[in-house]
Formats: sequence, C-alpha cells, structure tokens
Amino acid sequence: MLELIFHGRGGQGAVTSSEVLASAASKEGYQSQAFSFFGAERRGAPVFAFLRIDEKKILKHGMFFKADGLIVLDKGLFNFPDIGKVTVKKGGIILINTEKGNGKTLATKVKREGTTKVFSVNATKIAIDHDLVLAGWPLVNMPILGALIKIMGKPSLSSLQEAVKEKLTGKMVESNLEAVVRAFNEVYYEGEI
Amino acid sequence: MIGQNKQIERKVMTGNHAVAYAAKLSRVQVVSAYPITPQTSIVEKLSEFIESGELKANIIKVESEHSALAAVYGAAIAGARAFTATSSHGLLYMHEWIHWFSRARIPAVMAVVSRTIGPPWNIWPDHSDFMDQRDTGWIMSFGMDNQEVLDLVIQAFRISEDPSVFLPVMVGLEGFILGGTAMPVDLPPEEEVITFIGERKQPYSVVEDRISIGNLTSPEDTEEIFMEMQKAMERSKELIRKIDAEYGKIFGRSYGGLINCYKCEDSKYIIFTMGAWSGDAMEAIEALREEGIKVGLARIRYVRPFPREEIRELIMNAKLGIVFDRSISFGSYGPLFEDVAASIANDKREGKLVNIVAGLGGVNVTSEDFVKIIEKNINKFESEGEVELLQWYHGGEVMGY
Amino acid sequence: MMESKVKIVRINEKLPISFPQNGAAGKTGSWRLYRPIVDNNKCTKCFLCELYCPGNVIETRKDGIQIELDYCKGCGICAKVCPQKAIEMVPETVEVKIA
Repeated sequence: MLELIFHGRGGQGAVTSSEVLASAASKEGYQSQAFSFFGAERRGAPVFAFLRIDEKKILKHGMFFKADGLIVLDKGLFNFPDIGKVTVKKGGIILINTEKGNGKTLATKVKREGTTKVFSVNATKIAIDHDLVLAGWPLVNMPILGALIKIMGKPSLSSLQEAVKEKLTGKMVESNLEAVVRAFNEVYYEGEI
Repeated sequence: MIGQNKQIERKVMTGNHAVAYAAKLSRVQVVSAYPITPQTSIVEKLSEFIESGELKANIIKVESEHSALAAVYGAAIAGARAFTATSSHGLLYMHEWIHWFSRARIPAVMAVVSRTIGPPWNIWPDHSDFMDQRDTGWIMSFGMDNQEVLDLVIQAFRISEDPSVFLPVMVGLEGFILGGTAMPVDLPPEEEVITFIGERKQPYSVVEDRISIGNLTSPEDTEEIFMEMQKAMERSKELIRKIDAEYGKIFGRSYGGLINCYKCEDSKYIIFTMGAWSGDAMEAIEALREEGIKVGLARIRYVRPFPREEIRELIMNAKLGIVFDRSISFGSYGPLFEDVAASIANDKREGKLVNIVAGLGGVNVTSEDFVKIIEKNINKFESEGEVELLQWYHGGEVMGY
Repeated sequence: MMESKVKIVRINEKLPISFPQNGAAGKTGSWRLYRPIVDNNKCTKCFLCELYCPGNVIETRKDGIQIELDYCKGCGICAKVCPQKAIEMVPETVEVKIA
C-alpha cells in the first residue's frame, strides 16, 4: 500500500489534491482513500491531507505520519514545526513546490528513515503563468499532481485529467489541465539525500 | 458475480456524500436538517441534487435539530419518505423527538455522523453521541466504510418501511474518518434501488386517517405499546439478515447480517468492534495471525436490535473476548461491552471477557495500537489466567479502571 | 408538488393513535358544575369563544352561538374570553334523588 501525505496551508487545496489523485487512481482499478487531518482547518495555517492507494481493499482508516511520500505545497511550511510530525520511509519521495535546485536543502529538514529521492516543481510559477490565482493565492494543488504522477509513473496523465475535469467546474478547468501537463513536464529530480 | 451486467457507476466520494447519494437513490421526498460539523456536507449534497433536478424532494428549512426531526416526523406521518442527518450536540438536541418518532411507529431514516460530545469543544469522532441513543427504540446500524454506509442507508429505508417492523432507523458513520474521507463507492442503478425498497409503507397517515396521535392513555396501554416495540425489534433481526442476503444477490454485496465476521471460524480469541476502526483492527488480526495467534474479529453492524444470538455463539467458543468501545457509560463500562456481557449472562463458560475503552474524543487508534492491546491481553490471560475487566487505552498505554 | 404514493399497511399491534368520535368517554356534560348561559343580544359573533373552547362544543351561527351542553364540561373559558361579557357561568342545579 502506498501512503502519501500532502502538506499545505488551509485553503490551498491539499485535500482536493488528495481526493483528485484518489479518483484518478480509482479510474485505473486501484482502491484509494483520501482524507484531511481530522478536525477544523483555518486559512493559511499548516494542514495535512492523506492518501492511500492499494491494489486490494483498504481497511485502515487511522491517520498516519509515516509515509512513502511527502508533497509540500508551500516551501514556507518548512519554517513551521508541523513538518516535524512527518517521517518519510526508506526509498520514499519528497516533492516540494519550489524553485529548481532548492529542493535538497529544504528536504533535509524532513525526518527520513533512509535514502529519499527529492523532486521539485515550481508550481507557484506555473499557476501564475496560467492565471490560476484566486483571492490572491496561486492555485498549486492541481499542477503539483502533474509532477507527482510523473514521479510515481501512475496513474496516467489522462486519468488525472479526467479526475480534474470531474472535480472542478468553470473556467479554471482548462487552465488547470494545461498547468498539470506543464508540471508533468517540468518536474525536476534534485537527487537523493 | 451477480450484478456484473448492471450499470454500476464507481465514484470516489466521502462517506457523507455516500449517504446523500443513498438518500437520492432511495428517492426521499422530504429532507429537513440543521447544519452541524461534521454532518453538513450530506445536506449540502442533497440540496445540490434537488437544485439540479436530479432529486425531486422538498427541503424544509428549520432553526434547530429539534425542529428538523419534528419536520421529518410531520412529513413522514403524512406519507412521505423522509430523511435527516445530524451529529453530536444536534443529535442530543433531537433526543426528545427521537423517542417520540419510534414510539409513533413511523418509518424514517436518519444518518448520524458521529462526533464526540462537549465540553470541551471538539468536533472529532467517537461513538458517544450515537450510543447515547440506544434506548430510543430506533434500529441502529453503523458502517465500516463508505460503500457500506451507502448500502446501509438504502437497506434502512427497506427495513424501516417493512410492516413487520415499522420503526425508524439511524445509520451511523464516524465524522472525518468516514464522513470526510474519500473512497471509491459503487452506485447501484436508481431504478433497481427503488424496486428493492418498494413503495412507501407505514401503519397510518394523517392524510388517510382522521386520528389523534400520542394522546393520553392508561399505564397498561402505554406498556403494551412498548412491548409491541420490543417484539418488532426482535422480529427485525430476521428481516435484517434476510435483506442483507437479498441485497447481496441483487447488488453483489452482503455483510453477514447483524455482525460481520472476520476470521472468526477457528478463533480462540475474539475481538468485538464497531465502526471504521474495525478495518484497522482487521489489519491487526492479519498481523497477529502471522505470528500464529488464532484471533478473529466480529464487527457489530447493528447495535439495535443487538445481535445477542450471534455474539453468544462466538463467545462461547472463544477463550477470551475483547470488546472495544469508542464511548463509555461513565461509572459503568463501554455500552457494547454491557450488551455483549449481558448476552452470556446465563451461560456457564470458562473464558474471560475484557472491555477496552479507546479512541474517545477522536484519539487516533491505529492497527499497531490494536496489535499492542490485543497481544498484551492475550499474553496476560495465557500466563495468569486473569485479565482486568475494564481497561482504558490512552497515550499508547493500557490503564486499568 | 411531488407525487404521493404511500401505502397504508394496517398492523395488528397496539399503536399510540386513537380514532376520536363523539362521546367516546360518555356524555362529559355531566361533569359540569357551572353552566354557560349566553345572552345572544350582546354577542357580536367574534368567534373568540369558539376558538378558545377546549371541548370544541361551541358553534357560532348567524343567530348567535350554540353550546352543545351534552359535552360542555363547564370550564368557563368562553365566559372569560368574551369581550362583550355575553356569557355568564351559573351553578348547575342538581336534583339528588333519595331512594
């Protein structure tokens, strides 16, 4: 079973990220489970969203802080203590929304059980380029998924795009679909730590 | 598999949306509810269905949960298939109407998105609110995942409206753990759901009959009405088993009736749970069985009527029964334990029974926690022959009480 | 409006409902200690007494109000609410037969 943690800020759409990826995985016959940190969320405060993907029925329901992958939607979160709750398993991945070449330094702040592969994608820039800005915030939660599925190799880009179309409505759909493809192409492997 | 030719739509959705879809598939005619975390998204989704024309129903806006259930009652006694959903303090505020509803023998369905009770203020899940309703005369079921929640709500309408029962049904699911967690759910075709449930049935209606409801009676009449309710509860057991099997034939999913057994057959030790954490407990069973420990799990799907026959049989064949409660009757035990223990009150047996209270106020309980608790109790039982009757698991430690 | 397709299935069980009918508890007028006497010359047919009557025994007609004394328990609410003071409560005279 694959267990991923999305770390973002309240209102940034980390839960939607995990739900859309759960839906994309389901389209390819996987079982999936997406949920937010149980409790109230406040805009701007650090939040967690969780995702489980498996080939067989998922029985576990509890929250987890040891994960196969950590996806950080805002590099500013490395200044908060919350990120210290997470441990990335040996051979796991860390994907950070940040400028190219920045990832390894940030990722060293994350607890790891062993060697971890670090990736970066500038989802903020991609979002701004594609006019994905709402109430002053770049909408990075869909583009980051494009980067994530490139790293994982599954689910496919078309399943993800289908899931995005189902979840979102209005004029943001097209821009998000474009942004997802761009992030898919622009994700950068920073190396192992 | 039967049902494979049907047009089954698979969607990833939260438990709350699964409830809303189930109510839509059951073609509810009246919805009345008051928003409360973590229930709100059920009624929001139903409002969307009504707004888009997918569901032809009326929403009655109310100023409180007490009025919400009163409005549902009014609609139901007039002949409508009516539905509500609530949680925690909202459920407690409804309490008077909850009793009234079942004693009036009027069918309806309510979803309870369980959340603990304050103070302190807390929106996290446990079973305190749900278990607080167990003396109300409602049939009470509780799901383990989003798919089962959808299936339970659909079956709830059928059970509630069966003339051998005619009692309202509440379906429980934990807030956040199920209510806010997205998982794949297979949606059965609406026409088949409607055929399965059938037309709306009830014992009387204020439209068809010129009647007075709930007026003054003698103590004897009152007691006889309550005795009929108890009989209806007992009768509903067979109906629940039958409907679970029938649903399986039509839609491909059966859960075992009042309880869902997981590797019970050859178990020396038997675990009892209810709700979503049963899944985590099943993972624990797997881990323990890999160590050669013959342990099984009986997941209680219906608290009312209580499956005393099934449970009695399981316990009588086990050396140790461990009952996990996610709520407590302060000054006594967890409510599930009380019922399990009462089920074998007159039976002679060698084995022991343990009550573990855990996960209150939304405390996260993982499969590793289950392994730890179960292993500790089995070891103590095997080495000393004794176990502490009531234990509270908190902060990774088992404490005696 | 929605279609209503409810089917009433009678069950042979005791339910908390009753089918009210005239005089189910006998002629309750015999419980009366005070009898309402109406002065229909004063009555303005305002309907207040009919609305307030808990026994539902008052009917407002063109020629004034009629009280069904077979079932009036003599509570006096009608006299109390009448703005014209058109109803007077007078003690019942009861004949006691001595065998």
